[in-house]
Amino acid sequence: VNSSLVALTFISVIVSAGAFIGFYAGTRRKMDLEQWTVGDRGFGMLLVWLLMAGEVYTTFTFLGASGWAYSKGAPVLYVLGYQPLMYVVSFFILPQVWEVGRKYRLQTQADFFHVRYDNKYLAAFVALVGIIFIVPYLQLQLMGLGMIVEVASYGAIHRTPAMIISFVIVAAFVLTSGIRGVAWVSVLKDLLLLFSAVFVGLAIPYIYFGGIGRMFTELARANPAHLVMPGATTNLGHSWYISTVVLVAVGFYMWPQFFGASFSAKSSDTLRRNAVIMPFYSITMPLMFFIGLAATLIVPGLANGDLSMLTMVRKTFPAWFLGLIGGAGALTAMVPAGVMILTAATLFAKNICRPILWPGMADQQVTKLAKITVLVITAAALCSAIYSSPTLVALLLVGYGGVGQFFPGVVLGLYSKRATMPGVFAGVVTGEVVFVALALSKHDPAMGLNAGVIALCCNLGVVAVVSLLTTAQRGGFDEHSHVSIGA
Amino acid sequence: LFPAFSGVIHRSNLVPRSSSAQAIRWRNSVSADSICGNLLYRVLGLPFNFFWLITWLLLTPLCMWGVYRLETRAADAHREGDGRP
Repeated sequence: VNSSLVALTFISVIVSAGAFIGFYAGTRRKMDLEQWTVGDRGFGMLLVWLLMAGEVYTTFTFLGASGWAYSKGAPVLYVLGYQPLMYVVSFFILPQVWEVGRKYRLQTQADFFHVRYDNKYLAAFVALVGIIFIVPYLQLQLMGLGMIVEVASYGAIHRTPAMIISFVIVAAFVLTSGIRGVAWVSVLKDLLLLFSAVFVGLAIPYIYFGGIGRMFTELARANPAHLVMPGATTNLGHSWYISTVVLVAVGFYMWPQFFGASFSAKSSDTLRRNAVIMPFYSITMPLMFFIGLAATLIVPGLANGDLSMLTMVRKTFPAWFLGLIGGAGALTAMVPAGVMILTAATLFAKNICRPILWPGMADQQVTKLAKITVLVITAAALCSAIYSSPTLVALLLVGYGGVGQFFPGVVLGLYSKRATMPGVFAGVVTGEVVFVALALSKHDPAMGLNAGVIALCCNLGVVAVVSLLTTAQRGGFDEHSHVSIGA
Repeated sequence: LFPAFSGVIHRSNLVPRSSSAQAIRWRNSVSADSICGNLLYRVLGLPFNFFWLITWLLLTPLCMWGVYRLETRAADAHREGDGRP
């Protein structure tokens, strides 16, 4: 039987199963905005774990991690540096965010800024920045999905139709089932991802070298510089490593979609226990690095490092297994993409359109507009994925630099009564301007540091100075109970 | 003018003689960069930098479980102090 047909059958079955679960999860439920965006705040620990893991372990895990290990070498270890730290940050921040979310019926990150700082323009700005940086992250998922399906089908399906078909499915089950559909698809996706990472990550070093230790011995002999900083790069040294770990550790849960996922939890304790067990999932990351590092010896000279994992699987395993990996990879892109589309659409309808453009909008109209926006955002991400092609990790790091600027506003909003609205507003604007200026002028890293960290330092400085110069009229959430967010 | 050169430079000739130079050399040999950047340090077959980071992936949940237990106990004690159930 034709290899591409076998692989395609496996991919189609897995994607169809995912789509079925996604559609089924939303049946027999009334999809108002509360149910659609935060699952009626009723998700238990397992579902929150799956949803969070679904968003954390994305196409980046599948392709980007092995891709950077292949093309850059040791700098990829920043991933192992930030992952344990980001869960520590989430342990302390997310339960607090959930508490205020429940109290004020918050549904989005921008709602948080609106209630805490009592300013709809700050909330709209945060929503706009969130949407702007979600699009490259969404593009990352799309491009990864296209690559996976193209390689896993032995080139039988080109990446553009693969991206279009998959994202039409994603948009459809997001419209139908909201965040509940995405969470249930994560069950299948996480099972497949864990199996793929553990099996392939251990099997490839054993098949080609006789073990992980022997693989490193070979690597140390053939290309020792690849295993130590700055690897195959010239500018990603120790300062870049430390600054990137700091930026991503504090910035990770500043992605707007994680606020929505947090609000869907049944209790704040669910989020604490989730933060305790999540680092175990990270063990998939070093396994992905092993595949990328093994590929440097077995298939050197690949033009696109992001394809190293799939190339190794295609070279080593039969077609049905490649199809299985391809299907898992496709779901790995579809699940986080679903949450991102949903979040961006809700931010646009609820935090930009209603308060700024059409103040009289009813809740039902907001829901309807958000659903229409799902289609617009999906189309925008598809266009950017088809017409531009930076590497997956580069896209991800751009996003972190942008959303990381929300960190002072969120943390000071939770823990300090002295942070003022003008201070936080000026800080976020400064941080975004500095980051975008550095990134666009190709100064990332700048002075050896991640541009996002430089922008974050400027942001913190401005927040501190302006907050001290302005009057703290109101402080903390307790004094904002009059602000109505509505659902 | 020039010291006699026997043709072979022995490694011991390059060892710094002064105590401060030796201290700097020792510090360099045990610095984080030296350990992490030295592929001769291998633990369970992994280069030290990989081993160190993977170990912390596994230790983090244990440490956080400890913190979680402490926080839960403190919250329980606080509730009992308030007389709340």
